[in-house]
Amino acid sequence: MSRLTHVSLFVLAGLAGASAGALVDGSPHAAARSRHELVALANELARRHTQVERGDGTRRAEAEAAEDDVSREGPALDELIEHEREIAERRAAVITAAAERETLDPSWSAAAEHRIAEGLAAHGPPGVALVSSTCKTTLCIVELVHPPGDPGTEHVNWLPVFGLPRGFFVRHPPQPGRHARTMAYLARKGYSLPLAESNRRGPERWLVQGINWSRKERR
Amino acid sequence: MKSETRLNDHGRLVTVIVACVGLTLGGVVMQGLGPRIAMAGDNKILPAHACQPEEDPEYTIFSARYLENDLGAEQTYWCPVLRDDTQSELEFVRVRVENRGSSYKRPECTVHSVSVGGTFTDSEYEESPSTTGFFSLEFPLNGFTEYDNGHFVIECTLGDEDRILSYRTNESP
Repeated sequence: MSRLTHVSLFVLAGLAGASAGALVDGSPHAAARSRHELVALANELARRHTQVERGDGTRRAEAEAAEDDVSREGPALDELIEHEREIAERRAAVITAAAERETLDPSWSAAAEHRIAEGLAAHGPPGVALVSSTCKTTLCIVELVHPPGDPGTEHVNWLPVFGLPRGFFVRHPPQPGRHARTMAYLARKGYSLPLAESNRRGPERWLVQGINWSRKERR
Repeated sequence: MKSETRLNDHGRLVTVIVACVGLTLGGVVMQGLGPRIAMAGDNKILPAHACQPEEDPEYTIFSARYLENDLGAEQTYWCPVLRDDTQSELEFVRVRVENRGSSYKRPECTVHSVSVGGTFTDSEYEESPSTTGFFSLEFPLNGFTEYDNGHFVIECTLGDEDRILSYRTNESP
């Protein structure tokens, strides 16, 4: 609770006490004195408000400055992006391995693959083509290729297109001789995508070039 | 005169006692409420007015109670999620919507966790039942990756005359 609130409650309690005292002591002189005390307390409240607001402002400014310092000392944007790429590649590998280990649920996989193809044809962006889609029991992996000149950066909400509730999406920018691609790792309704570290729960930490990184996943 | 002074002294004494009792009780109450107030800070409920329509805002009705799609067709809205801590987790998201059933399209929302570079996205999708009425779209965000320094955003698509009332996020450090 902020110092301002503490001070306000303190003064309000004082005001309440003074009021109660005035009620108990009913003489006109006492009432006048109580009024005087109330005015004095109100002035004190205003004065302390000003002090605390100034103090809070100073502390806020100091905290913001400290945060700015931390930000400046933090990893550079290109380092963050590079590390994200490493994490995403590892996660994609884990999901791919999990999908390969899954047995085939023919009643679901064929219908899911069909729906993915139908959804893309009906609601997908023009020119984006399905390279492959593989569904097993709880997971699907879909590869899409974008048309020439399309960097693949346009936002598409793929989940309603494919009719599945959870997904992890990786954009691959165009390379020389290769169009942009999007990889979609999808989970069946009622299931989650596997974690990169299947035996761990909670924050993961790496020390990369002296910088602490963390990523959090939950089951 | 003397008795009046005694009475005034008595009044002052009572005043001091009442003030002390008030302060003590206040301290006890503050002590008890303190942690709850701190926890409540991680829960945020935002009115739908925080959401931005993808089309011209002219085709959205904003009232004190809701945001309503007035485009005459389905329309997408983007609702920001405030991340107090750049490395925090999003525990859950709930979006309160009203399906008014005036089109085949029912309200649907997707929570996106976007990496810093925007190359990787984790998404979770929910849609309201086809019946009309108020619904809370729940996103437990299981197996969801929250990218340090990345951002969260909620994408909602509404049928004509459907509404978003508010959305709630819970962030844990």
